[in-house]
Amino acid sequence: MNTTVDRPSAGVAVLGLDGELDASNYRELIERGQALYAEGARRLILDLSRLTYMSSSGIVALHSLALVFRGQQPPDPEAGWSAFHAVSSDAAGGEAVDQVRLVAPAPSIAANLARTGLDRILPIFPDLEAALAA
Amino acid sequence: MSAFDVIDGQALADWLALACAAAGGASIGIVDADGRLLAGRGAEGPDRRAEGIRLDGREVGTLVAAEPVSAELVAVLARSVELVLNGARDQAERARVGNELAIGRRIQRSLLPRSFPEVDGWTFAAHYEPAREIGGDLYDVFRLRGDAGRIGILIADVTGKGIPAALLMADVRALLHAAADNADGPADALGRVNRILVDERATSLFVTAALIAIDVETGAARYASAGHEAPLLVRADGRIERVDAAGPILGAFGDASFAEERTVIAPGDALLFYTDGLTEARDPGRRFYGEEPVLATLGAVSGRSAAAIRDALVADVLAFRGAAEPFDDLTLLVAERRPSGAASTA
Repeated sequence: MNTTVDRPSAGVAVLGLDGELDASNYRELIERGQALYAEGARRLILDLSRLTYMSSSGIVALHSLALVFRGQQPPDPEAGWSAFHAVSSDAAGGEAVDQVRLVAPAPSIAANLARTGLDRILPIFPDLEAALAA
Repeated sequence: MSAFDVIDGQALADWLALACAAAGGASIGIVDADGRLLAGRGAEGPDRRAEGIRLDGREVGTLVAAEPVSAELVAVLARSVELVLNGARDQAERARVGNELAIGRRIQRSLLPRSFPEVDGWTFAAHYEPAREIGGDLYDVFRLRGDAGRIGILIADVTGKGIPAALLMADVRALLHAAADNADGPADALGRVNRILVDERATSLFVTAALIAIDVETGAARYASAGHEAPLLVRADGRIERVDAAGPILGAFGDASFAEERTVIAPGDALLFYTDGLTEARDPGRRFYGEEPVLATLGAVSGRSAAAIRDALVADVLAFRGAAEPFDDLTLLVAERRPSGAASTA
């Protein structure tokens, strides 16, 4: 999988994924996110328009990136679920939870996100412009 | 315990003796991080040469030699020891990982049923083929406690591999069984398990699950799902329906709710439970198997026994996969309600 990085404005990073996200590279994706956060990015937009496949490891990576952009450290087992719950509670409480945004996932990947429930905490946008503008 | 424990003491002494001889009898030795002589002969005095021996960026010892020994030889000797220590450490790490995967695999296998319950009018068949590294599929068919006429069928998939994944699966299996026995239906059962995982367990692993409760006399079924691939109900006439119910993966959302749906499994119908290892199987050209061939095979074997359906599905996906290495566990479970008047064995 190839990744491209764009910094359209201060604090915002756009990471484009090209290829397949699976057990062989999901950790690298998390590390990219951590590096971007360390450089000062506080909103991560993942452009999935060229992502052709995402395994369950991809679900783990997306969840970990949600943690990273809340200022938390994944994938420490202790941190994993509690941060996820905190994100979910925020959503239930009406506060915006969108430090990580997803753009244009392929239908099978969108179906995976919907079936697993990750779309509840990682908002999905049809294109990059919409994700940047919201 | 020192980093040098991986090296046989006698071999190290013999090797240093060779080095001393090659240096015309000068003293050469290895001292540990505390300055204690580990092997060879120590060297003292202002003309002593010393070269650090590093492992993972940490100095774990020093190669010391008396003056006549050249700096180049000292450097070669120190780097040689580092090569051995690195190699031994890498080897031990690979063995540890391999061992953990093997133990995780054994735990997971022990959670799978050795046989299915005898239920009048129903047959069951399953196929399980673990991938080398990925692990964590679970399935079961069990009588629901307190109700002789009802059975539960579950399938679950945990991300991750090794011992943590296997232990989580053991935990989830026990929780699902207890919940299925005591809850008011599959949706309530998944909700209870989800709340326990959310409140009491700390893990970054994810679990998908599908659970169905069936009245074996009438075929009336209630089902619920936690982010799992929808089981497929193939009618006797070949029509296929998705047995789908909304609900997110287990353990992630404290406020999750699980929908419950109902259907009736008529005589001659069969239910297929599977994990993504089936639809995401790949051929040597890395193409995905997908759902279409599963639907096609099911349509072609409708009305047959669970074993026949299972065999047809397995044969087709294995033919597709060919020599390609499996990426994920291949797991499928078929439950069939025998046509009226048929014998209860296949």
